[in-house]
Amino acid sequence: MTISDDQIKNLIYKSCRLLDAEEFDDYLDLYTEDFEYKVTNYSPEIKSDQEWMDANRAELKGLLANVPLHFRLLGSFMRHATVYDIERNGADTANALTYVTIYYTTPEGATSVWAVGRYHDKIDVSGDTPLIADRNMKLETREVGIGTHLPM
Amino acid sequence: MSRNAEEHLSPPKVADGESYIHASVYTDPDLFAEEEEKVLRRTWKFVCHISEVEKAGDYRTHQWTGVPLVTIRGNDDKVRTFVNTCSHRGAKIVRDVAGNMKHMTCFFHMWEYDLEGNCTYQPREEGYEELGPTKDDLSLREIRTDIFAGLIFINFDGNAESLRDYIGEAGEPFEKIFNNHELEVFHYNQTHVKGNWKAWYLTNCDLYHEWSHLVNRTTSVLTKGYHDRPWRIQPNGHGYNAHHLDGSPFQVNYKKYKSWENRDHLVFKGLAPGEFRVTDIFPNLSVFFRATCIRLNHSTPIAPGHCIMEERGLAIKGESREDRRMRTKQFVQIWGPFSRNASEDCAYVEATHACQEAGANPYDLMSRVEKFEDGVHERIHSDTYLRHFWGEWSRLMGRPANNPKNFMEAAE
Amino acid sequence: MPRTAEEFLSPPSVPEDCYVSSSVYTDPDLYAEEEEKLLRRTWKFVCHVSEVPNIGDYRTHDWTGVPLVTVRSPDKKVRTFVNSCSHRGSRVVRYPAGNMKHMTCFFHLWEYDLYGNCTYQTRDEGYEAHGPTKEQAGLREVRTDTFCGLVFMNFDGNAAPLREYIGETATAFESIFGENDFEIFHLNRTHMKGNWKAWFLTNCDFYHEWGHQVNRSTNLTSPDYHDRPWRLNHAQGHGYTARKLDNEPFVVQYKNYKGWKNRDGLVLRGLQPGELVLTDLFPNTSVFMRTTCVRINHSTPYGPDHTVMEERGLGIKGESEADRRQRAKEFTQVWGPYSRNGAEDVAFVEESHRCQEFGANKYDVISRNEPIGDGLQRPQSDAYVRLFYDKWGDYMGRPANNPKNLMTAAE
Repeated sequence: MTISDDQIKNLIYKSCRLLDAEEFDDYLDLYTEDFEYKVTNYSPEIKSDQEWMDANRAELKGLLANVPLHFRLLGSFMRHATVYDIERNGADTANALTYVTIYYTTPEGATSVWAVGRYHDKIDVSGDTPLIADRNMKLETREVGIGTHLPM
Repeated sequence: MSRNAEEHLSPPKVADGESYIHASVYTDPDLFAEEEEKVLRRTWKFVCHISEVEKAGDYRTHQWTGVPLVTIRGNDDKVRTFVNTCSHRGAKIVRDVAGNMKHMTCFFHMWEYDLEGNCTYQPREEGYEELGPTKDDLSLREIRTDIFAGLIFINFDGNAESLRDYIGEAGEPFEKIFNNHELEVFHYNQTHVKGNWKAWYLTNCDLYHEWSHLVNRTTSVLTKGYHDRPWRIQPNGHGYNAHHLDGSPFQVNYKKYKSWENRDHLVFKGLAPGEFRVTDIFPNLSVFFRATCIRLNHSTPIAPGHCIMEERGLAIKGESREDRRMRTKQFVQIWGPFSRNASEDCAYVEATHACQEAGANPYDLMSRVEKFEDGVHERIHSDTYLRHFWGEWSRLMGRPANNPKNFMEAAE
Repeated sequence: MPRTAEEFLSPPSVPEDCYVSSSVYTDPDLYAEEEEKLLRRTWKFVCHVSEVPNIGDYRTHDWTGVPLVTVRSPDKKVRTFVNSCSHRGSRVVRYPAGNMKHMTCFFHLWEYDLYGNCTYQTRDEGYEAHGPTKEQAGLREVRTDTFCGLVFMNFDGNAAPLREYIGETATAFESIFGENDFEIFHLNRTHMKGNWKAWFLTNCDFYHEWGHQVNRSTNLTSPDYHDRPWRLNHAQGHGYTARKLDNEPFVVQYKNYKGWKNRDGLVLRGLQPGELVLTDLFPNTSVFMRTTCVRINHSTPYGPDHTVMEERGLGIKGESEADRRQRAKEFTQVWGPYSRNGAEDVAFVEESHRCQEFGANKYDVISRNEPIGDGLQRPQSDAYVRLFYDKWGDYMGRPANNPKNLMTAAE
């Protein structure tokens, strides 16, 4: 069975919803076993690309398990995503480009734009359901307040 | 017992006046203005790493005490810093954060300066023949710039001692290791912190707060020998902690944090596997080693309750892609905006500032004393470095940090 | 005739207590002085007891910039502490509300119990030489008291007790609060570019009801609208409007607003169908009762031009889901950010501030006089607003109509 573009879009949107809800186990289920997750950006200060998070399954799982033990930015994130482009690489993989705006809401209810960026995803479409094989969140925003322990 | 207003507003009941400071040092606009004059413009300020201005014409813009500056490598290979303002109408000349240029052209009237700060071109210069000035009168203002172990510093004060004398023995934990490698910056981020620059810096110098970082709680604090490292207090307000009193290194157990590995690969030459060191250079630079990673951390004060914190990661130039990726991964596990520790540190400073701003806590305690059996050295959860910092601050300001405003009133 | 600059800048031709200088809304020095002389010396509303029903329940809030935490201690008493660690001063409790066993500062993990005692200093051997001991490191407690389920605090240890402070003004709401078991069901906060007094006085100025479509259609059309007197508490600066002179209730005609019904079901015990009662407690708390709903409204000033207004709605504890839904619906018709009146009131304050800020209007006229007999005044009189500024002048030691000149003269 061929995986449709809509299935790929739904996968990406689901990854946003599950992360918003902090349902980390279900979130990790959207990825392949050997996925790589990165948050990257370009710094004009040092004139190079850089990685601000780089984790495989074991590392992301470890981090997300520890999140409740860390203290962190209070409040909530809401990711608003639009898939702009899906490109097939033969039968087994596809590349998807998604524009993402992340809103942050304080515990008192005030909302602001926290960051904008683009998901560059490699999607595994070889099975019955699509899975994220690699995700690179390329941030446009480099000032993110005190920062966060969470993947974006 | 909870405390009433009088108890809350009275100086803390500690043994001496060096064991607490008054929170106005973090919030008072007059003290901030005076600090710019007496502390920040008279001490050596870290700018960037030499790898950021590698070739002739490479520049970095920055600011200090509000003054826009540009640090640039000249054609003679010397790194200089200029006040980044045109001698004509005062516009900021170099407007990007970093780059390479052949000369500096002011975009307002196209005046030009060479990389040594000489004014080389005034469009339609016949207009200045009658009243002046000539190009020779119009060089940019140069600021003293010097380099120590690849770290570029500036000092507004022409009479200050040399950078090497200023750093002195405080260079011991990092100078050799920095010189063992050709280093380059691979990580950079800045964060606007709603807090005072000193509070940010002192979070780096207060190891007692390691209890609160999950990473440090699991990988460091419970490690054997953790408390056996002494603070090495140095002149000019510096200090560091590195090896134990017996000379052996302090090694962190990274594998105690879920899903992490120990750091025994890619270790910088001169460090032991897992070794941790931190050097604090007055007034606000911290140099961290975590076996495979180097972090340079400082901040630029903007106002009493606003500083811009900068983090840099250094790696070995020319290393393989795999090595760089592993080093980066380990760096951003602990530092950077998506890390475990840096965002927690920002939260400490902001939560503290939120209270100090309103006078909700008039004093800041630094009364911890944990002496070694030799009766001289103090252990790392002692506040000895904090007291040393405030001693130096008080000396430069001519005001005691525990009562700076009363002193002000008395002087008036 | 339009006015010349001189006419415009001269005090209005009304008695001295009938206007105030706009600087009371905009001047930073006066604001700083207000914090010291007024806001830290009067009783400040914190929350309703139903927000902290169980031991360990807390609410965080600010007053005069100071972060505070109000918590129910194991002895059931509600206490307030300055929410700042005795060690390095960090904010201790960081969330707006919740339940806790003890308070742990997240910076160095010092702990306080729910009485404000410091119970744990991490690695306390480091304090043996220089101190402080745990006994010296308790949190600063701020006086807290409860009246009719309303929690108040006061920084001033020498102020009169809360009950005495509220005085006879309690008449308007005490019995109703006594007869109904209330709990909070609505909360919203609004950051407003305006002064806290301007907000409060919008609640106290019935004359502006002409500006609300709801009030124009449901209140002002009632023939007996003007027959209620202001009941003023001259000693403390409070006031209320409730029953008419003949002790009959003032009844709002809700059905006159398109799509609404009269409020004759779910009537709170102690009120009549459609009845409206409003109490204003100096310096900034208003308790409204509109038959089926209670609204508690106050604000937190953060500067002369920045005020955070809070609205709370109270319903009956344990009522059915259908009743609660109806009550909430009626509440949010008039109050709350999506209501008819709440949004209009914020606009009144912001538009006034927009002019006062740059001196576009030097004076605020409060000269309305509408006697109803017995020395009493009708609702659209400015009698309460004048009383408010009289009290303000007492606390500040400055007349509200000329506060800055007095300052100059004193120097």
